[in-house]
Amino acid sequence: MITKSRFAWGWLCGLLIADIVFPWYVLSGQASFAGAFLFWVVWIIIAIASMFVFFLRWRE
Amino acid sequence: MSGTGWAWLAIGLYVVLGFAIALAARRHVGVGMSDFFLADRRVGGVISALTYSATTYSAFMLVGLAGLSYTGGVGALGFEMTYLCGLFLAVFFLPRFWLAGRRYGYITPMDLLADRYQSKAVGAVAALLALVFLVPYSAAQLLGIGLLLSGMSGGGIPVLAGILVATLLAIAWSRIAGLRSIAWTDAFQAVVMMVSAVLLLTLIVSELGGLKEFLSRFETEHAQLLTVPSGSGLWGINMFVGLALPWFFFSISNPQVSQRFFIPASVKAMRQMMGGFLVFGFFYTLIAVLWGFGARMLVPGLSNADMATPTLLAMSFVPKALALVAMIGIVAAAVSTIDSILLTLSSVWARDIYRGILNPRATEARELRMGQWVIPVMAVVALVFAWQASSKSGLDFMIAPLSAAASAGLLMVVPSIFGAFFWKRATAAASVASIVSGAALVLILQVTGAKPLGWWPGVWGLVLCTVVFVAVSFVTRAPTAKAEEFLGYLSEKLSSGKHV
Repeated sequence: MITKSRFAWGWLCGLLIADIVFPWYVLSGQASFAGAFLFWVVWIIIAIASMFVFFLRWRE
Repeated sequence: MSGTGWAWLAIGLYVVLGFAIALAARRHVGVGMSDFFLADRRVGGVISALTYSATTYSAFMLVGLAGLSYTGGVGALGFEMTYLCGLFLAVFFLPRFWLAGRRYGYITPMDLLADRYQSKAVGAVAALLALVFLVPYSAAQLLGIGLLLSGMSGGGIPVLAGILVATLLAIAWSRIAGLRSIAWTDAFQAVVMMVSAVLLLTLIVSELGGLKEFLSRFETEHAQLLTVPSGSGLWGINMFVGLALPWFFFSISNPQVSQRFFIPASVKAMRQMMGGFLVFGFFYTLIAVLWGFGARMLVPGLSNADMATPTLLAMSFVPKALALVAMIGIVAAAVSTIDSILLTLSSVWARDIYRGILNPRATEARELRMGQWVIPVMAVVALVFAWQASSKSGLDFMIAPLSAAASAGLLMVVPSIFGAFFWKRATAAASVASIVSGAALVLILQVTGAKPLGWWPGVWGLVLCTVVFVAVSFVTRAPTAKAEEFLGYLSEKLSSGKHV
């Protein structure tokens, strides 16, 4: 339980760090849809998928 | 028929359908606070997801966010997707709110804080925070409707008429059957919002030669808008964090949204609410941003980016019927947000201020009547605020500043919510001190326009209220018995329900 919870918080922190680092530092020179635009679309799909992994386990 | 006539006809149809749904919801109304404000905590998963979506997404999306995309490019996508990622917080908080709400009978998030910290003052201060920051936010929505209708009818529909129509709808749909009428009309409005947005985006893309041609042309003509910070330098990191931080915590800081955590009928309904909202949010955000990009190509050179959507809807290639559907979609987005805010604020007034402080011996029936009667009062306050704002500087006055100020102010309750669920040492004095100090700082910075070190008011406010919350908790007495019982119950239930 504790491990799973800590993993979830850590994963969320990792997502937020990537949210800043990739668009502003890694992809800042990529002026095309394959740059920050694609990053944010893929990033949120990963975030949403991970949320599904957590909440689909909820039981009564 | 004139443009104004068609606009009134479309509004009339929307109003009739909305009333039919609200009145149908009335047949299921029971008695008591929980029934009126939370639909007796028995809302199904699909309706929960749609009401959550419609409440969360306001006129900001297709006017404000489209405008931000128009001006600043891809940073707007990152900002709004960061908000959507904030729903990760619901993975932790949704089951906790839901379980605690059922066990202790909480009606509002402030009710939860007051009980957890064993202090009515905590509930009242958090309630005042919501009243101070959500009334202007509602006014911004009202004003948005007034300006949109006025703009699309070429001034045929006065701004005040649009504001009045929206106010009356919000009052009626929240009074008819409380959360039931709101949830049902929200579900209808969420469908209208999504369908109209998809239809218009399809038309825009088609006008620009198809999706491939649209993307290719945008990449060629506006490459600087596909990086951050953009060519104009709009999306610096400070601005991104300043805007995104309050919105990241939106799901727990905004009571009209977190109150929805009490309503699902079952764990299955909770799962459906989360999943449905995430899918809705992903597509609606993408549409709003691409809509803004399309506007940049079709109506370049606008001095006020918030006019991108109204200008686009008035273009000759947009069939009148489709423009009207899109207009109703935006009106629906705004009305569904305002009526939910009104209902939440009325429940907050009745439970956390009237019964919590002014008249603790009030019966539930009287408390409910207070809540119901305060709905039109709040609506009139928002209307007056919107009317006053309409004589200032239009959309530029409302969308960004008011939305940002509201979300930054409400952010100040976040440490108290974290403390309530995760820290036994947290105290009532710390909660009150952190909310008051943080909100005061945000208001001062918002009013003066100051951004020390380039950081936005919400960032400074969150830093201050977190430090105050932790420091004061260490030097004041925590409600240990309540904390043990509350957190012990949740821990046991969360383990058996496989929650994190």
